[in-house]
Amino acid sequence: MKKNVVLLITLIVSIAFTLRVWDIGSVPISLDWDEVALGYNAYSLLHTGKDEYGVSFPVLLRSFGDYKPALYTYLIIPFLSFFDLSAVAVRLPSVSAGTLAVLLTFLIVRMLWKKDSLALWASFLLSISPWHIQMSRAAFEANVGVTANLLTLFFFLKSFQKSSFLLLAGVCAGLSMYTYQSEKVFMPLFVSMLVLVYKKQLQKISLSVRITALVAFVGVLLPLLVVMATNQASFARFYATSVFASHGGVNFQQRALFLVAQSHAFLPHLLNNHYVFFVISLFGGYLAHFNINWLFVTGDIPRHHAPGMGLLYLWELPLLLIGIYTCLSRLIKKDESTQSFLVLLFWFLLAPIPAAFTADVPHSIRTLNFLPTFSLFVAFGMQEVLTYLQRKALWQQYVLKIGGAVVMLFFFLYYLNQYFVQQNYFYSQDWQYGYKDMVAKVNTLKGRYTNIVISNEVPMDQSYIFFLFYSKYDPSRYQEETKGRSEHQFSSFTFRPIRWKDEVSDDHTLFVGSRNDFPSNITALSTFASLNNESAMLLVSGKKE
Amino acid sequence: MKKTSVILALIVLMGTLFRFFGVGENPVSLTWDEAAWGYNAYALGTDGKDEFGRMFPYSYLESFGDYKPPVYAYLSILPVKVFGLTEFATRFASAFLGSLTLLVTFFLAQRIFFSAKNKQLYGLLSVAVLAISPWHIMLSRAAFEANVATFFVVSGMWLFLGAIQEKKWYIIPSSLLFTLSLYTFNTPRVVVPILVCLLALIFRKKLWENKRYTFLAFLLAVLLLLPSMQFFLSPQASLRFKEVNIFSDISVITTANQEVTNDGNVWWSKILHNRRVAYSLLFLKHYFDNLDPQFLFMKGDQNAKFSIQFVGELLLIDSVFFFVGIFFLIRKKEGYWWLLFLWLFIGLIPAGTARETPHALRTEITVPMIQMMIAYGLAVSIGYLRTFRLKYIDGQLVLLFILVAYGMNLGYFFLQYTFMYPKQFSSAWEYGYKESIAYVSSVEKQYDAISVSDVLGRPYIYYLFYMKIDPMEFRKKAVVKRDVFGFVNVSSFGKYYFAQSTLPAGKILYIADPKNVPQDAHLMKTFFLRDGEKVLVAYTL
Repeated sequence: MKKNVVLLITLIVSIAFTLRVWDIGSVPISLDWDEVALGYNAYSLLHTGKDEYGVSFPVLLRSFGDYKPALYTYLIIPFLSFFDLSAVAVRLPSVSAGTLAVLLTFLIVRMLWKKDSLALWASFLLSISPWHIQMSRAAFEANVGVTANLLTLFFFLKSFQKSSFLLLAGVCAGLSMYTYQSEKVFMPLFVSMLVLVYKKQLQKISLSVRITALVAFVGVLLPLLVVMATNQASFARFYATSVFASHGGVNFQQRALFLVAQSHAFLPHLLNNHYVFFVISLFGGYLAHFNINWLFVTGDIPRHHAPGMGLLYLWELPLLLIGIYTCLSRLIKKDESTQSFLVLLFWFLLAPIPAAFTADVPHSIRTLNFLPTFSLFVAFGMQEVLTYLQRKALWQQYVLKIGGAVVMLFFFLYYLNQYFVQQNYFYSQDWQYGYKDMVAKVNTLKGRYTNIVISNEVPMDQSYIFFLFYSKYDPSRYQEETKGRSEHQFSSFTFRPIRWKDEVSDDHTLFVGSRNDFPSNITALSTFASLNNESAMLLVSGKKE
Repeated sequence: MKKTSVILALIVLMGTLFRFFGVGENPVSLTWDEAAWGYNAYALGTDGKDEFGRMFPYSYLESFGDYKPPVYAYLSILPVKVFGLTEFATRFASAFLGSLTLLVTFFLAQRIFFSAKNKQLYGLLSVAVLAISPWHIMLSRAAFEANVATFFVVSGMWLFLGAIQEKKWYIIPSSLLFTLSLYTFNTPRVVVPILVCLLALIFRKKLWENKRYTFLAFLLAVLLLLPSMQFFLSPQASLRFKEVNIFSDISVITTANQEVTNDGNVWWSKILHNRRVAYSLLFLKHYFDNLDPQFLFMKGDQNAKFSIQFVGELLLIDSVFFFVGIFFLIRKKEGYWWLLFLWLFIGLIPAGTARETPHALRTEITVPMIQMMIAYGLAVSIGYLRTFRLKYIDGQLVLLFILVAYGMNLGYFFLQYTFMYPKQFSSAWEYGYKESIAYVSSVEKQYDAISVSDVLGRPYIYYLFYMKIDPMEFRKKAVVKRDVFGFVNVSSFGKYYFAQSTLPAGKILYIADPKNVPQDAHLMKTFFLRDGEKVLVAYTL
């Protein structure tokens, strides 16, 4: 590798790391419930070898009502000894995976197209990608999944030079399915696609290596398969979020089912039933991800994007279109990179499939497997534009390049401001801000009350996990106290809905609830409001009449 | 050529059938705008005055909450004369010109792809996909003036390109048609001037060669527009625009100010959070909303008048060929391929400035281009698949599969539209007026006054329409009020009182919302939506 290429990729990886780790403890402002659950379970595993529900070394981690692949929790454990149970420790696995992804993108693109400049552009664009930064700066398991995809592909491609790498590819592919739900659908498709595209190269690898790799893949996967097969509840989440679930249906579809149910005619039943609607939503859910607005202007829910921004920079839109056009044109021409273009294209087309089965589309985490294909297409577009510019007069080149750079810089600065400054103000309630200080305050007041009742209703659902996390509650004691009980109750904390009318005269109890739980004129002992004051948690004590 | 003509005739015939078959009964009833078109055509046909008595209105037609471009009413005079004041007659102009759009689209495609070997195939497929387009079918089956405007723009463009390619004088009827589109619907008022100016720039040499005709065409447009200039620039004309446009959304400014505050009021923050930037982003959001794949291919417009909800504005299978078409249009660069994109991008601008997006009606002007892109994708795919063979995959089999997929998509749309849509979405069409008015006219002799609630909106126009009230009599008896914006509303005429609290003494029949019936009322009759929900009741006290 040329010296300046090494220098540049080092620079790019440093930029990537800086953008991902800078102020990681306080931007996003606080840990959301999923992050807190991951953190406390890691803490519990470290100290007791069991998760919060007392399961030893789980493969599927029960988190609230849902069973999710557990790898991320294990990745937190090493960081706990350096950073204690904190936001930094919980988020660092994602930060590391995100940074690694930038490097892997460089290496993979270099192998696929043998062009340093393209590889540098692709990795640079990923390093500043708002979508990737967003998911790398919070404990989103899907982000580790993306890195696992990249590792799989990297080792897979490496195996054409040294066949034993195929083994590692198998292991990584297996591991990826321990990271996130959508990987369970995506990875098998992705691997099948690789095998089909690279049939020729694979045939050169000896049969024994191929079989060993397959065994490694299945071997790694085995515990997961066993648990999934034996644990009925593990399908719960899939079912709850899928388009199969009847409550997920759209209003007019439900209305149609209701109207149809009244008639005995055959035709209306044939046209309006769950199967037909399922097929329609499947295709529609897939297509929903090719929405320009979602990608470039609005994003989806607040935790998945910076305020006032989409998932990608607006200036990437023309480059993306040019890039896709270039790739397709070269794919048709059939040159030595045809296989590489096939991989890129299919990767892009496979990514939205897992999300298509679910109800909330478009969804930027369930389709995180898209990355880094967007950066790659944009890199192709960028190269195309730069080549085009070379034909222009020198002064025109300068004017256009500087103009382009100014636009890009403007949006980059805008993004930095939106992410690092504005996000905390506008979205603090979406990151469930306030628990840290609130739990500390409750713990200082704890001695004065016999009971502490904490609301577990929207927006304070699953509030117990924040108390465990921020009080660093002893996991073995917690497991002991909650054994065989379905509701959460430990120490003097009870988590249940507050019915203020019945509790108003109870002065032995400290109540913690949201504004919805109390009358609006109540005097609170303390208030913990979101930064834009749109929601708040209150500490309230009853009064004897 | 002969074969092409036969196929073309068959496709247009099929498309016409889709647009006319049962058009008086499905959609199940008239919207108030449709009723207004029908009645105004009736009034104009009776004594040359609109419902409020303006002689041959030219710039606009005054209507509730709106100043309508008047062309649709004039186009409906003849159908109403011939078929009487009925739903069918009111919708005739839209269905007829919608069908004619199919034919013109073929010839437009011939001019756009003038240099292509397969231009006839492109034309036939364009007409075919337009003929079965849910978007175009839905809008052709009700009195939507937008659909007529689309016809004018498509024909205007066909003649414009004709003037460039064939006969110079074509530019004069082209200018006439483009100008007519401005008097038909609001969207062309933005789209056509931009599009024509850009085309004039692109074809400036040719237009300069024909400068005598070009000048005459220009003069014609100016003469036709001049009498209305004063109105176009008046506050009334822009009122409706102000109501629905995004630039009056002040939350954008509040957010921007908050963002500057969060940055500590430093100067660079005022550049980043400039309100022009914020409004541009908002415009882009609404602009791109109209390209949302869920809108295009899965659900369609949220307004059930423009989409049956179960199928998108286009068919699901169209999505594949839409993308294929775009790619190969750019790659092959046949004829004026760029015109499709130019037309599409400019056509979405007006809708992008409105709050309600995506909007199938305000973007209908782009439909022929979208369908042409899909047709192009289909044509390329057919050309490729006819000879394609790869091991187990036979291209002809894939073609058969595509045909079956289209059949299923279209079949699903057609069956849902015929059997489910009238039942489930009758309320979207203000269903209930016709039945209740039929009841009122059968019993009204027994009452001194009829009080009609406006729960379904704009009741008076339906009474005019269904009772075929003589316009001269209406103008004499109507009590017309104007709201603060200057919009007209009719509060009563004859013995009919609309949404009025003060009623004359005597025996009164109330037509009202079933949720708002006083306890001591005598229920006379209940009117139901097609899905069985109550929609109106008749009672006395």
